[in-house]
Amino acid sequence: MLLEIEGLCAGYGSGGDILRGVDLSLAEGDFVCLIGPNGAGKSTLLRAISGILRPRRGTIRFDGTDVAGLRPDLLFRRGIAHVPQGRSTFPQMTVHENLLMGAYSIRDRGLARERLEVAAAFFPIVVEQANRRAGLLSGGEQKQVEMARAIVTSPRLMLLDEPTLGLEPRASRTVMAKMRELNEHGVTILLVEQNARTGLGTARTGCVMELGTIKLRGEGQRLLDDPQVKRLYLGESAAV
Amino acid sequence: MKLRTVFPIVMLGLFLVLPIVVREGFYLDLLLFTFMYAAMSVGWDIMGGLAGYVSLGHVGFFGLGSYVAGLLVVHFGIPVFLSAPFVGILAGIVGAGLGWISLRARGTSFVIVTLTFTYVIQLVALNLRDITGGSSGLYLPLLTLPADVVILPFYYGMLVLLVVAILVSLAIRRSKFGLGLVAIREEEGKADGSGVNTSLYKILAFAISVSFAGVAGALHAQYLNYVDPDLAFELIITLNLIIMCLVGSRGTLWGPVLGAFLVQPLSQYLIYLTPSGIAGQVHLVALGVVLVLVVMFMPDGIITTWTSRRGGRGRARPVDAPERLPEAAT
Repeated sequence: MLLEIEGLCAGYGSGGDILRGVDLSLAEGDFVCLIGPNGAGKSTLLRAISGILRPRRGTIRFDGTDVAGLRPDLLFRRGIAHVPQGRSTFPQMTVHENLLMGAYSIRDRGLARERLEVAAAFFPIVVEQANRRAGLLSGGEQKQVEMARAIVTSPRLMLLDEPTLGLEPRASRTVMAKMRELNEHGVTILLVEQNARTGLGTARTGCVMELGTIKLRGEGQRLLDDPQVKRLYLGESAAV
Repeated sequence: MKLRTVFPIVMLGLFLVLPIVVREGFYLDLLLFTFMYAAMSVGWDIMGGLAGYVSLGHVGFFGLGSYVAGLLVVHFGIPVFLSAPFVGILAGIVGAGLGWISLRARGTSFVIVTLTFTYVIQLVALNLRDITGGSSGLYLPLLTLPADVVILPFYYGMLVLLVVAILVSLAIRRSKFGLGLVAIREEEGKADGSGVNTSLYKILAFAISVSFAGVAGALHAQYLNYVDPDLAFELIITLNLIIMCLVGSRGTLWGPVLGAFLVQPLSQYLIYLTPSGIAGQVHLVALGVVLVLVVMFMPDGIITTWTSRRGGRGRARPVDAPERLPEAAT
């Protein structure tokens, strides 16, 4: 297993637990989509995995070693890339410079060049728009730049927090397609998606989160057909 | 070659041979001060433009340079032209120390600390009477050169300082270090997350930034043959640097140079035009007006406004990064 989470509890400040004993495991090459209502703890789970939020209890094993509580930069170096919700490009920098920021921690120039070329192959937009200011791109284009920046580090696990939020349908389809492409090339992906139908339709596996725990896990398409999921998250009556 | 490569080289050649043609002290003096301000502005912009941390303390390092160079020549007989580079390094070390105190935190505390530094060091210069001569100042021995050529070492000295400042600034802008500084300006948290050692970078940028002020102060002290606490720590010097960078465009290589070449001659011309009794005040008022106009109508400065009108890139390239993708992480 690439990622094994057991009994994970976490919360913010002196508040109560948001995550209340999450158990989740991802094998190498998995593509898992987390769905669930607002406040279920989806984003919090991603933050705990990438080290932004320190877990209170429980274990997070990445590639066999316990990494719970490690600093984000160390986890980043181990191969966990987090693409947070919203815009996270450097808006005043050019697209090319944004990509260079992704390669910042790579010391070997040859390797950095290689990785940048790989990122450019996945996301041709970073070459086409190389000299434009990132802030001038559309939301979907910026998301692609963020994803390109994340894969420059050649991550083993990519965490994506609602990458299609606020994107027009075509852009959101492109982003989803890019994720599937990355997954086909061996990147393990954990995706949080508000739009359950697209998310479950794209990912191999789906997980339903509720009140800080994983309630259901199953094959993406099968979850879509599950009457309970339909009633709760897809806004359809169970009778359909 | 492109215009932006050729033009500076032509100008440099021109300035190198100019003293042969122009012997009038007034013009050489004007250019000398313009070089000095341009060099310090380029230095200021490394911190204030690239990394986005506004320093109000550059004159403190200018004064520090003046005093250290002055004391070295008065007490140990070391000529200023010999000690100037080391004075610059010393200013950089002191700058790193001040940065270590003030730059580990983010945001505005830095501005206040740099401003305070100027006053602290001025008080030191004022009160260490036995060493610095207190408020009556320090007289430096005159250079033993004929009167009509005595200005030349300073003219060329400041020109060399300016060229070095531009080359350092250019090198930083083309490096990974420069990219990291821009990332700090854009959003420090994200820069941190991308693997930029933000504290170290800010301290380093500040040290480099103030070292030019230190050298300029050293040469300036010998040029006037005199240092006193009022002259060496005049806040207007820092303000001049900021106005020059704003006029020319912050965060660009040539902005500070352009700003200095516009503002300095303009204010000298105003001093020359107006009756001597009010000259000092009038040019300060004019400087204030220029600042207000720039902030109101051209907040991005000349170069950025110009390039964005032409290129439609919104803003000038914040950094002269390598053009091609593969050159990437250099």
